[in-house]
Amino acid sequence: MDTCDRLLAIEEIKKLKARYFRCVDTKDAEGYGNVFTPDGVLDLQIAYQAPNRSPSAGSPDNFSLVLKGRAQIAELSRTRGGSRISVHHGHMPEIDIESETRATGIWSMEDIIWYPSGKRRKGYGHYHEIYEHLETGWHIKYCKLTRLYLDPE
Amino acid sequence: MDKWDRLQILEDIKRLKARYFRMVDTHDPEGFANVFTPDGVLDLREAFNAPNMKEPASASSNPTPVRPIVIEGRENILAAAKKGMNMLSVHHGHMPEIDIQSETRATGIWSMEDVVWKVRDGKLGAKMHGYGHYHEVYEKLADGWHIKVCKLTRLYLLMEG
Repeated sequence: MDTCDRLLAIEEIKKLKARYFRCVDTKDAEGYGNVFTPDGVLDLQIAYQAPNRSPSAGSPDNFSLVLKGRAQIAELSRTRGGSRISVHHGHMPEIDIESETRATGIWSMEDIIWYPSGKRRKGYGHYHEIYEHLETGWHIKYCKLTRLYLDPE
Repeated sequence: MDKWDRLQILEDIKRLKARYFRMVDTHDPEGFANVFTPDGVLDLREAFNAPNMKEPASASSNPTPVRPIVIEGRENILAAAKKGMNMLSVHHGHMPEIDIQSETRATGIWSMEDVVWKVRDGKLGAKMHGYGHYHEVYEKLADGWHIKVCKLTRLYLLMEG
């Protein structure tokens, strides 16, 4: 890959992650699913643990914490999306292009969720990701969220 | 340098600064020090003073263990980082203005936001929330781009609790 191709791949992956966030926050479940490869994995096992929270704190939404495949991932967006308002931002990606079809990345992130109960939860953390290039372009193959901080329960 | 090389350098420097922030917030003092050149300078003299404050944060009102000093050299930055990373922090950089001056030298200004909590016995204490700019000089060595000078200035600082 020459420099131009590598830089374009980095830009395309930045756009992919922008679409990820926009589909979450605008509740576009199908669009969200299509951000991932068909066998994509969304790993939220430690997404609700933060140094400032009790280690046993679980998901407030009561959904499975490892979602495998586009259908499960889209279903997550469909079931939790309607009941809350969310804003997600990604910052300062560190993207490595490993080949024409594979890349990895780390994104700093910030989110705010407003629940129907009126409760507001703010969080910060990092996404750790693997990307794969298919005929339909770049997709997320693996996405894991780790936390620096989450508002307490 | 052709245009692609210039764009690659911009990307490399953005990544360098992303690593700077991630090393601070994930408490990796060695990784943080290695962001800098061996003779790197971290200038925090204005990091705890802002136009909205009557006077700069004192040692007692500053919830961070970091002091408003100039730290010179990777070794000293490492020592300061080892002492200073006992807080819970989130730092974000935005909208860089990067100028490439040669194949080995560049300058940049980053908009920034940070939230820092003092941690005592596993509980969060006093909080500082701030905005400002980083003013930086970068140098490319055999092992890639590094920060040679990093100076933080503030737009706003709020100390709570």
